[in-house]
Amino acid sequence: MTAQTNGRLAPLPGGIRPYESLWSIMQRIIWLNQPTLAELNVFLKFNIKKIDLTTGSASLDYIATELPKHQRWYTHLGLTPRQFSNAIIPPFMGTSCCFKYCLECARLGYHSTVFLLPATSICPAHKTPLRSECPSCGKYIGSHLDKDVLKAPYGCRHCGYILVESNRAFFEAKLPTGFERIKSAGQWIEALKAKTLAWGDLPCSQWMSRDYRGIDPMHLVAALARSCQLPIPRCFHFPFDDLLLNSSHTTPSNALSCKTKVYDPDEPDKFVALYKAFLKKHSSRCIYIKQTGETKKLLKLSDKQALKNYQELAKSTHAILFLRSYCEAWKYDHHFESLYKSVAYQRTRYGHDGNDHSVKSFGGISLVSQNGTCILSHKVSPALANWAESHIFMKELSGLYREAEEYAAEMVRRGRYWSVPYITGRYIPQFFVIIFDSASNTYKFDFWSNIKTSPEGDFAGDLYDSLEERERMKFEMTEKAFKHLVLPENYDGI
Amino acid sequence: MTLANKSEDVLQHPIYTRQYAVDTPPIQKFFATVCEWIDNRVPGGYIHGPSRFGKSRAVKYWIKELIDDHYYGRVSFFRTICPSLNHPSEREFLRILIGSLHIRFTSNKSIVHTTLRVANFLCASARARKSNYVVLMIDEGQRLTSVEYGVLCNIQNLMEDAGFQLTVIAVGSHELAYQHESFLLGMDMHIVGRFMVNSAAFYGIQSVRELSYTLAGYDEAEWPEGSGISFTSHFFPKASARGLRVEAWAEDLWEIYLELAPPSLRPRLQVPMEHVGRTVEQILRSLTQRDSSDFEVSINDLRSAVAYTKYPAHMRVIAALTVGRHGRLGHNE
Repeated sequence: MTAQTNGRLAPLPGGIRPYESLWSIMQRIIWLNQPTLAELNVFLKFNIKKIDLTTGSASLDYIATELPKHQRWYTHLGLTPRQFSNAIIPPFMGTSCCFKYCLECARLGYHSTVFLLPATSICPAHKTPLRSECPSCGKYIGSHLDKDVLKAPYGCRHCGYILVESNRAFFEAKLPTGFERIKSAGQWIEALKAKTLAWGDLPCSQWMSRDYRGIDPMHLVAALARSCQLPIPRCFHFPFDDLLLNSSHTTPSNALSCKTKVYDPDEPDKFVALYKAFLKKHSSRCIYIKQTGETKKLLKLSDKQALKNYQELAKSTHAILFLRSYCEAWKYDHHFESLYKSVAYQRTRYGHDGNDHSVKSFGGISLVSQNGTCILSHKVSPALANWAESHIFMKELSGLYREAEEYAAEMVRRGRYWSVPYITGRYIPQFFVIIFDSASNTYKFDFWSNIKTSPEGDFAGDLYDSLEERERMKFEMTEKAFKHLVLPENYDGI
Repeated sequence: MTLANKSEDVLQHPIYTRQYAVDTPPIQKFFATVCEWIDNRVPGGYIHGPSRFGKSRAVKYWIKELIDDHYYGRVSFFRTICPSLNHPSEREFLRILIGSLHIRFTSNKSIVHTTLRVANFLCASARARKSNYVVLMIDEGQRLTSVEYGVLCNIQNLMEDAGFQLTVIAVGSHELAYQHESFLLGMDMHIVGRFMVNSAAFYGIQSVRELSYTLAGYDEAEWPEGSGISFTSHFFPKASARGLRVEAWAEDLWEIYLELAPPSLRPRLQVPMEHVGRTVEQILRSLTQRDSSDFEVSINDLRSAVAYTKYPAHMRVIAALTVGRHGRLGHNE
């Protein structure tokens, strides 16, 4: 029998409901129309088996590389670009650990994109934990579309258990009780997608006040250098010992005694220059973007890419914090940490010699998510690798901030400043301001507007000045010493 | 426009292509019956009438439009034609249904899945119209066997389960009127109970008044649509301008039909719509050359046109079939 090309799909009862996930839409279409896999592929002009919107497996690469196709096929479903955009996980959120659904919502034949977001573990409407496994057989339901799914749409591919309460629910297409909360979350994420964020928009005081003193400064320098598209200095050691005054993790003696780090007194100034260049470059960029809202004209591609990474990071952090606080009482926990690690795992592969040992894979290691589901490690797309790097970078930057804060505290202890700094906008060390917005009850970082520096100048300038002063003093002392010395006859001036 | 193009265009006229249907009193009665069944949400019914009475055309051209108008688009109406199969099978019937409903996916999945596919499609279509009711009209209903009725039962059950109601209306020739007896003999009570409790006859043209109403359709139907050119004025522009109306032929035609019908049918004559239509078409086509401002259609013209349609022979067949069995036509009502 030849395929009918001018036939029509059964109209989706209730249409596409707000913030309904692509998974739900597809399952409903499949249930209504009962197609075969081959028919579905012909209809969508796309190999539907390749699609998975949740896991960071090879299929993500497929979507990344086949993006034009991926973007095209939804038109055959009658979805508008906005509907499709709302039906999948936003790009800045990357991938979820695993497919999740709310049983109560699924009984009504509803599943939202909000459930798939990495930070969501509780249904905003029902306040019940999201699940990944079949209530009947306990196996992972998953989000791949294959021939087994076609046998049991909106159900378990293994045992055929249908999540929807009855056939009637498919046609009634009711919205769950408390749907407004899902809608609000969806709207929030949608608004975030459209927003242009830059550095200063990172809002998380909780995040930034984490203790990251254990971060290897090598990583930080490498990340900074990479962000500036500058070559990484071969042999250097940033004198964090000057900053980590109260740190029990790293002391000057520890730093010097560490075999893998080489203290080179010539390098700090290189780093400082690097660091200043970094700040200048990105601050001016952010100012420009904030003023014009335009990123296309003047910025080079690589710069845009870098900015995009920061934006995505800021957005994902926003979203995670929002969802955690919106759906449940948010707290920093191991799940949150593993979430970040899973997306940023690659960067932990850096060696301690300052060289870039990054590889284009997750290194063949599986991570275990909260639900006990393995995230299979496969090759990742360059976009994801880049994104993960930016995550790590920002994490490290927050560490730098922490160190700066401690540095400032130490300065107060030494009597150089008048008061103890604290994170509410009154005091800022050097390069950005934290503003507490009482209206939205959030903290905002500001890199570009009137930096509230201390009378002593900015952080990097201080450091540079002090180093310069120290070098100058060293030179003067040497010079004085030399005055009393008689040069040997074979001295060639080197 | 060249002459060749013009003549080619003229041949697209519905009178030549026979792609038209004029409104008739039997269609109105048919529609009234269907409306009554829809209002009562009956599970099924059948409408029977001798062949060539215009049932299929009524189903094809009129019923959907009338139902949409009457119920403001809230009733989903679908129609299909039951084919003549040597070996009736569920799969074949489902395939025919899928084709008739224009369902996108047509693969030969299992019968269960295909049945679900059809039922889902009907339910979703009803839901799209904010309703829970579907009417499925099956033309050539006399060909439906217990196998096809079984499939319809399954679809109806699935739809009931999902909260939707389906009315199956079979439209077929007069054999349909006897079919329930054979199902009863075969102990298929559930089929009779569902689909054959309600029935109605589809009549032919029964009076001069009805014939006049029918013929007026040719004076009102326009081609091209909205052009203001009626069928009559298309073929007889000059005479039409003077006042020629097809409607005016009604009395003469009725006399001729009575005259040429077998005596047994005359007391309650029902003229098949097929012959009325063909008679008018024949006159329009063949006499268009004689169009002038003083053109009139004579009795002889009408008689020869009626004879051209083989009306007498057809009526003899009807007399043999219906009167022979029941004594007179339309016994059910």
